[in-house]
Amino acid sequence: MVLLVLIHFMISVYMHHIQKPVFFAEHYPFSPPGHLEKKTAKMKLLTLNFLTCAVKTCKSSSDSFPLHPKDAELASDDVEVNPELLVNLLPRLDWKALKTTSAELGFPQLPDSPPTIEQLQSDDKLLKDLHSLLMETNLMEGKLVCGVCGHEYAVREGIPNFLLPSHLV
Amino acid sequence: MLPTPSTSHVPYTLVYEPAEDSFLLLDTFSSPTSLTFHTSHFPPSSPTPLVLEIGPGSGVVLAFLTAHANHIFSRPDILTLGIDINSFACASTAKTVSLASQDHPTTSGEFLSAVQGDLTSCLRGRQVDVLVFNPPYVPTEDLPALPERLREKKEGKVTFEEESKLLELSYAGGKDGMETTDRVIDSLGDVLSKRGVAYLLLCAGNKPEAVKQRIREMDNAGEGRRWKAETVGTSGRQAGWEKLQIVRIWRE
Repeated sequence: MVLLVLIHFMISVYMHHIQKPVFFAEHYPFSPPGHLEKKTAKMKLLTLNFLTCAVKTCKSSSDSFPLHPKDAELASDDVEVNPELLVNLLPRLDWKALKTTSAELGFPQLPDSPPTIEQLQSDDKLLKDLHSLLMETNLMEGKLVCGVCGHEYAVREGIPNFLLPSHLV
Repeated sequence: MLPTPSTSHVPYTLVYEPAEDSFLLLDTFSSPTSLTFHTSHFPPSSPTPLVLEIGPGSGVVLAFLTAHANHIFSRPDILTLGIDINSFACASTAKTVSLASQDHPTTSGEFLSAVQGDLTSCLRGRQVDVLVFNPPYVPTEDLPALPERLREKKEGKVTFEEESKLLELSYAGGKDGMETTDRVIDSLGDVLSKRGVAYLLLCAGNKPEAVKQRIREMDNAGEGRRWKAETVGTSGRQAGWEKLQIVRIWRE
């Protein structure tokens, strides 16, 4: 009996342990669940707009950007909406790359061209959706794959690792 | 005085502890002349600046820049990013920045992430508007390499030897203490945006006057602008020489 209780206890501890504070793209709503555990290190999805393959010879090819997320586990943050930030961010975003990243993670399709400042300022839902995607969505685990050389960069506990094995440096 | 971010959670056996050089960066960024420069260089409603620190270590400088964005850049809408070769430094930076941001929600910019990488090798070209680098600047015989095992996420305990290697990486700069810094200087044209500004910390042993001269003579791919390199912060005078200085690098 004691043994059974003990086993039950161990299983529940184990189950609790593997319930990571992550969820998958297809379940991702634009309103994040409130019970997610706060992990300190995380990689904002927006980061992918600035990263490329670290292999020198890949950089000249346009296929090295953006990197393609694989087996991605996402987590969501609660960040206060800052319309000014989004308005000033728009002109410097690579929209095409963002659209690719967002589609690959299973988010609703983004329009082909970025919204104008006027659209952003007048359309509250659009503003909130973009905010959610860019500011609140984090990559916690998974891989980032180069479209040229196929190298997979691991993301663990919210930290992507771009150090190449010695033979690729 | 803007408060210094807390780094009490950082494991100093694995990550460089904030010291005189880190604090010189904080002082330089809090100065009124720095604010004036940034306000005119990144006027409000110009595109959101991307701030990158290479080798943030504990994260104290990046957290300072993020949390006090409105005081330093006269706008809170900035993005910040850290790249460090040491995975423990990445984790420390993420925590330091996130704690400092939470403490100063009304003046804070947005932290993107702490990336493990080799200098700027994983960055898309010409995106960085503010680059900050407190390099391994101590002149040493050899340039250390990251232990192979620590290139991947570490399994098991970090040995004493690996610990000293990690700390060595944070200060040992090879010949003239400039081997790593030179790589960053050479990449500035590819890394900085057109309006980009870099802040580089140098010590007397780096021969700062010669470094600045070399930067001023760098090629700018026919863009018709010239590289500028000026000292904007100093500390610890020794026999008339600045022990440490911060050099601002940009094109005009």
